[in-house]
Amino acid sequence: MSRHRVSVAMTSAVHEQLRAHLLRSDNQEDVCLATYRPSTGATRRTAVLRKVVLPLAGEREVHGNASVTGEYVLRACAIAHERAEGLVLCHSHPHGRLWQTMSVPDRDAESSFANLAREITGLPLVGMTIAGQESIWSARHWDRGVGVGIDATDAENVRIVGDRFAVSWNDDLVPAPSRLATQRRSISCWGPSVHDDLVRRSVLVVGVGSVGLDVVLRLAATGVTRIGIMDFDAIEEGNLDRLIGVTTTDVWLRRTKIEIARRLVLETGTAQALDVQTWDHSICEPSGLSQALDFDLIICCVDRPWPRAVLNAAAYTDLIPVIDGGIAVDVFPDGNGMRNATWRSHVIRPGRPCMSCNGQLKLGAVAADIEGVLDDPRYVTGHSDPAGHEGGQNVALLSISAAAGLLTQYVSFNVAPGGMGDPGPLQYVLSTNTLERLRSTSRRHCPYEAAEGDGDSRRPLTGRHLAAERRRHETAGRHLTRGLRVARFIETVLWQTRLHLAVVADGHVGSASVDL
Amino acid sequence: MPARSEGVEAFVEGLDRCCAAPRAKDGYVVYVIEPVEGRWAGEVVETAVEVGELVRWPLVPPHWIHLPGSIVFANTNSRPSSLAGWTQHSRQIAGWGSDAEPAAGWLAHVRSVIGEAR
Repeated sequence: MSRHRVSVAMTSAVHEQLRAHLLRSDNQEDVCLATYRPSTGATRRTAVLRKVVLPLAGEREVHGNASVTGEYVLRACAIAHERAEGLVLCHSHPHGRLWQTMSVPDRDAESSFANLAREITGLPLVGMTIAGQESIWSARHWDRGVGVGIDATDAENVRIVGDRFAVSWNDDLVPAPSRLATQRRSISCWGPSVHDDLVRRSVLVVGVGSVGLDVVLRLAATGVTRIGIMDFDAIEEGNLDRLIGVTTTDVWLRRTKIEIARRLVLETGTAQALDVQTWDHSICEPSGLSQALDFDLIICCVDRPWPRAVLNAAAYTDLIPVIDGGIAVDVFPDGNGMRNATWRSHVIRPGRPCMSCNGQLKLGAVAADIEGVLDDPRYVTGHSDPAGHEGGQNVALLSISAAAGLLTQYVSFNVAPGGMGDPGPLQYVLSTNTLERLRSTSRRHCPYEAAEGDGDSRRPLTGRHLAAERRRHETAGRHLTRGLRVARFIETVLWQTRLHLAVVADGHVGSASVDL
Repeated sequence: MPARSEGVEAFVEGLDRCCAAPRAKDGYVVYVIEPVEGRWAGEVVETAVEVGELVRWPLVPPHWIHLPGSIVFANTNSRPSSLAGWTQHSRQIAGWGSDAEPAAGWLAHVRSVIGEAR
């Protein structure tokens, strides 16, 4: 098997259960087993931890080191098999601080069970180690070779989704990026170690309209090293009053949103090795979701019910937190005057109500969106609020506030200022200029939250997305006049020249690493 | 862990549990319902959902309600159904996701829609 990316994700509840067992008061090593389901993206496979299987009396020995009996492994394998899940072997290094490499005894212990676990469960054994001093996890998937030749692929990170987002990093695979002079003010906000962690967390922004474009540019300016952008739309005249940085030339040359967003991100980004990937897909397409599963965190900047339902599901099934929000402008019925405007933001994740439970996704509108009838005037006539929002009014003066709401959630969730993480759903009301903390609870039978940790066993929500297909077809088959083709070529060369100049400038300004 | 049924299969199982007598017919799940109010109250009415709308059940409820042409509404967005003599009506269900038995929630929605019929 060729080299591939692997990782592990778990909820804070699972983490706490494992931690409570593995980190002993007598500082001896301990061991236990768990189950997982795979979550397979385009280039990364994540083991999503599901059930902790603690040892029964006599099933493991603690003697400075710790060892498990074959009976315990077989019992846990049987549980995993019955649940169509894989096996996880966890142990502790009480005195460890950072990502742990495998000692020879650790490697022998895990490899001795790796074949058995795969034979019974059909999935590779996942090994995990918790370093006791700062509860840092390390992990590997025993997914290469068989028999005596079985070998492990080291994970690139282990993610814990709770009130705050905690990530343990394998510095060999994902080294901390250089801290640059251009980032000095940002780094000073939270310190170098937080910055090193934050900027390595890959972020996918779905939808680069007025809010998404602003969000993605600010992530890039902060120094985030891996950014994904997904949008299938082209830039249109009607976007120009809200997409900052987009010009009439872009409309004239029929640029797509991801083309321009990528350019602006590359111009704005401060990371030395900025990796920007773009897709003209919908998240509703299987290919779109597959790409999304490669990211650590997603920011949802789309307002249609179907893509929001797909992202709502992924937050639970694949433990990829989704920061979501939006803006609603309320105008008087005759169209003269603004009655109010509100913008909301929230983190969708296990432990918080899903988008439907908190009132931000009308599941009843999803089928109509899938069918593509939400834009049908006859349909809209019969439904005052078909897509869950009123008229789609938006203005650049306020969309920045919606973007700020999302980024506030992003900072709170990732950085946890003062130890406080995800604040819960927030809403700003413009008419009264008040920030409200919204109270919402999960419905008892919510089918989205019930699918927590399902990974690849998730119920399919994706499918053919005709609007995205049509837009790609139009873009691919752009029947550009000779004049437009020449203009596009010239404009591209000019932009590339500007980018090359920026690279040269980087050599003179701000690219020096700083010791912070 | 028992296998979890999905999509059409889960929908039919749910309707079965709710005694709605589901059956497959020409790409539809046809079942019966007894409205409690309106013109059709107390009568057993046949209604249907297209199988293609059930792929994502219960995460996404169907949108179109297929009814015999004899059931008409004062106001409706409708188009012909491919079931001969039937019409499909556009109806968006509210508050989806609250029911322990999604099929019961769906039947309540359809019952309420038919309750408005003439």
